[in-house]
Amino acid sequence: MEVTLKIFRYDPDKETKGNHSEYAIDVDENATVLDGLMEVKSSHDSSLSFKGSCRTGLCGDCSVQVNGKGTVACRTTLAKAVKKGKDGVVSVDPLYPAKKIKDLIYNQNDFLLEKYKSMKPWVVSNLAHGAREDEVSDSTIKELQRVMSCTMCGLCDQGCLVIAVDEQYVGPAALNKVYRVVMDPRDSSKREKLEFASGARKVWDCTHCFEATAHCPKDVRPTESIFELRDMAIKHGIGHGRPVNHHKSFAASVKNDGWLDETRLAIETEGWFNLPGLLKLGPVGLRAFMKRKAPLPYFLHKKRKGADAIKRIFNKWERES
Amino acid sequence: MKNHDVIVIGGGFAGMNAAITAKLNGSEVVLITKQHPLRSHSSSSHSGVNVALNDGDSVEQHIQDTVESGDGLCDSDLVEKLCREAQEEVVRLDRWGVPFSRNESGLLDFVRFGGSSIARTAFAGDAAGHFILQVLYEQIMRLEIPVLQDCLVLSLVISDDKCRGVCYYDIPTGKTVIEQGNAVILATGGANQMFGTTSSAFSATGDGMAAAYRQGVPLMDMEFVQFHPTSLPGTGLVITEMARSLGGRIVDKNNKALSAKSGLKGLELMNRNVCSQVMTQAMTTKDGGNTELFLDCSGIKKDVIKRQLYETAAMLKDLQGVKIAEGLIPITPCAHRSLGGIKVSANGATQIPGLFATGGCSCSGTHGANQLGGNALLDNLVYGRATGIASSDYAASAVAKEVSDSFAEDQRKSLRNLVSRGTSGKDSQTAIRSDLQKVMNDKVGVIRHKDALMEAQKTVESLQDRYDKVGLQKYGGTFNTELCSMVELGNLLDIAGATVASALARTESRGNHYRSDYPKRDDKQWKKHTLVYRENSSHVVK
Ligand SMILES: Cc1cc2nc3c(=O)[nH]c(=O)nc-3n(C[C@H](O)[C@H](O)[C@H](O)COP(=O)(O)OP(=O)(O)OC[C@H]3O[C@@H](n4cnc5c(N)ncnc54)[C@H](O)[C@@H]3O)c2cc1C
Ligand code: SF4
Ligand code: FES
Repeated sequence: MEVTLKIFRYDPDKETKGNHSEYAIDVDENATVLDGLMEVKSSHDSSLSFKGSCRTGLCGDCSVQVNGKGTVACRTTLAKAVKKGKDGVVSVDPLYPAKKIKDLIYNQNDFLLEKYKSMKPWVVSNLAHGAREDEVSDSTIKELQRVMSCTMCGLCDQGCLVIAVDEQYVGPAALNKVYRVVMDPRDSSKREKLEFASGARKVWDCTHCFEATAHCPKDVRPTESIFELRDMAIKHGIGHGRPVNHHKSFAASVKNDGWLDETRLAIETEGWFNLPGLLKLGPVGLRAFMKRKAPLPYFLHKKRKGADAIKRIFNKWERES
Repeated sequence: MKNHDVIVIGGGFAGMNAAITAKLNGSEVVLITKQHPLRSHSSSSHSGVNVALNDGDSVEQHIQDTVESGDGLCDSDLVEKLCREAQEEVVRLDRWGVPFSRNESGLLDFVRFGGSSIARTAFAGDAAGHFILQVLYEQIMRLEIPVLQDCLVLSLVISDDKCRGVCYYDIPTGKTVIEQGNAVILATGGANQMFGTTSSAFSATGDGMAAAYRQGVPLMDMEFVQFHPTSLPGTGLVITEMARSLGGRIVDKNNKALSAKSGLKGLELMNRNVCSQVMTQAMTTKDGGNTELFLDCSGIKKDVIKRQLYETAAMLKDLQGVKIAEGLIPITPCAHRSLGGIKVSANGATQIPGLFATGGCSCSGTHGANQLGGNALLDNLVYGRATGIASSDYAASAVAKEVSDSFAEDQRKSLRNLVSRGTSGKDSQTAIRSDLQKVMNDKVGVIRHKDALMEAQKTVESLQDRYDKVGLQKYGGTFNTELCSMVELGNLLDIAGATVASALARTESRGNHYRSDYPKRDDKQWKKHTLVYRENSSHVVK
């Protein structure tokens, strides 16, 4: 199969900005993007630099952008990539927004791996426990396997809308690894981990956009892991100001009235005694009022029809969980 | 210059386990690796680890299966230690958070691997390696063991006949530097990138083996290369043995079982060497051509696939566009694990004081001529740990001595030489690598013969000559991966030479080494290990 790859080339020792170069290669029908890069190295330029190790989608090393989309290079066939490429040309670039280092190599450490490490994501267990393994149900293990199948490929962090505006945000990949620890029945450091994850620029900064889950090539569902962490933190009485207030007020409003009371949500999110926060709401409310989009004042908000049924659902769920 | 207690080279199962043990034993430890530990080859091991905890199983039975599989060459004391300590190692991993799959009682579940008389392999879905690697790295972080990543170790620093550190090429900056320490553990994995069809990661280029070999340390049993029966043709990516354990059948294009055709009932779960040899014979037609074989997984239930073969199913879907339980999947044996390696004693010590080795780069004689599936990982745990303790004890009593920068200067010079010899002409390192992989595939594969091996020997020698003439575009600089692959190719050529020489020397068939010109096991002459030494530029087998 003949394919043209348009590859980002950049040598920091020679230039300040990179360029794209095109390479025509002839590869096997089932060849992957990673095979294609190997072929370019082989038949065109042995100085082409990129990462990759296991070739089978398990080590997480080979992530790049293919046709502008984050992809695991060893698990994407060129035949598929060609169909999506512009004019049949497959473009290959380093993952955005990590810092570019050389050709397709980018700074995985700052972008991903150091953030992971910063979350202290290890199980603390009691090794003096006895000669046999702890009893754990297979369904718990299965769930743990799903969450732990994250390869640290970084695609969720690439898709994350918070990292796009705040590169210090720890990101979904690292937070998923915290969830992996606190959901493990053999771990004894849950509270400590949850408190740490509740610090600044961590679990409460997620905006629920689901981009992380959408970008994940596995069934890890990192966005849901963040939700679980938040729920667990709340259950442990660990909060982080506004997001927790928001969470609680949202649930209380739907539970009691069957729908969202937006005024109450805004006020309770800031906190009744948070004067500077409440004052900040004034101009927002005024602008909304001018555009006739202001919600009803708190005391005028009415229960919606069927609110009692909704309340019963809430109560049942609370009893059962 | 800082002097470390213990320097561990390699962040796979063996290296991380050794580093953790040495640290817990009280040593200051640094781990040096050419890639991030999570990216190590170990991540792709699918199936699991042997431990005799199933009802009806016993350590004695595990020992017996291991010895039988080793075809008369296992060191029985080492096998005994391997099997006796399995429980402690696996339970420790489980406590640290490896999600080993469970039975209805919530205890470890097991599958039966080829050569085992009972289901004994503890598994974790079909991604045990990925999970174990992750959990070991978690403990590396917990213990705050510093990791120097993207550092390609080039050579050992030997002074006063002792190993006192390593010299490495720092890939991000292009500098060649020394790391000094009382003890060095090589845990650099195998060398199967010398074969074209292999399950190994790109990093398996025999760097540690080559570094020790050049210092006069012998390589042991290099002829024993284990071929995994079921890999995808061309790529060598493995379909885990679990697929056969759960009912996958090896068949021809008419869906006729190879077990029936060959008269070997239960072929799928025989030792890997037997399975690969029967397959290779069946794939060769009378006129010397090739015919295909397939894996038929249609008998495996959907829920079983979801629980135990989900990673494999996803790989097949992405790469071949096929559903695992529908249709026939083409398969071929691939080079999977080098049983040979740096000769070590039970605690990982080599003949050079201060130099230790463990895992895929080492060979102690535990597994003999063929290793039972699921025992490799166990070896990395039990002997990784023994090596961690021994190196840490050694380091505590060793006297540090400052080493001179001349060791690094020698390496800088030889790397610069690669540039000065120029890149003129049509030849290239990638062409040499591809020719090496082809000759090793064709002539040093599952079935060997003197004539083919002699041809391979000649070719490897001529490839070495070609290697000595091709050059690099530059020395140093940022992420000069061309330089790295050149160094790795040099190592592969050395290890290929040692492998071919050992295969030529062993004039019998045993375990993973099958010679069509000597098809019988010959205990009289060959109930012994081979040792190959680098003398000047030849490989001398003793
Ligand atoms: C597909 C597959 C499936 C497998 N399944 C099983 C199984 O089910 N059960 C089982 O028991 N075994 C299995 N194995 C075997 C098992 O994976 C290996 O025995 C094991 O991974 C070897 O670990 P290691 O630590 O020795 O080497 P590796 O994982 O190869 O680690 C080597 C390390 O050394 C580093 N390194 C190498 N060279 C240098 C250098 N020059 N400088 C610095 N660092 C260097 C690398 O970066 C890497 O971190 C499987 C193997 C494969 C390929
Ligand atoms: S959660 Fe998914 S996308 Fe994110 S790093 Fe892990 S495997 Fe990659
Ligand atoms: S090379 Fe390991 S995931 Fe692609």
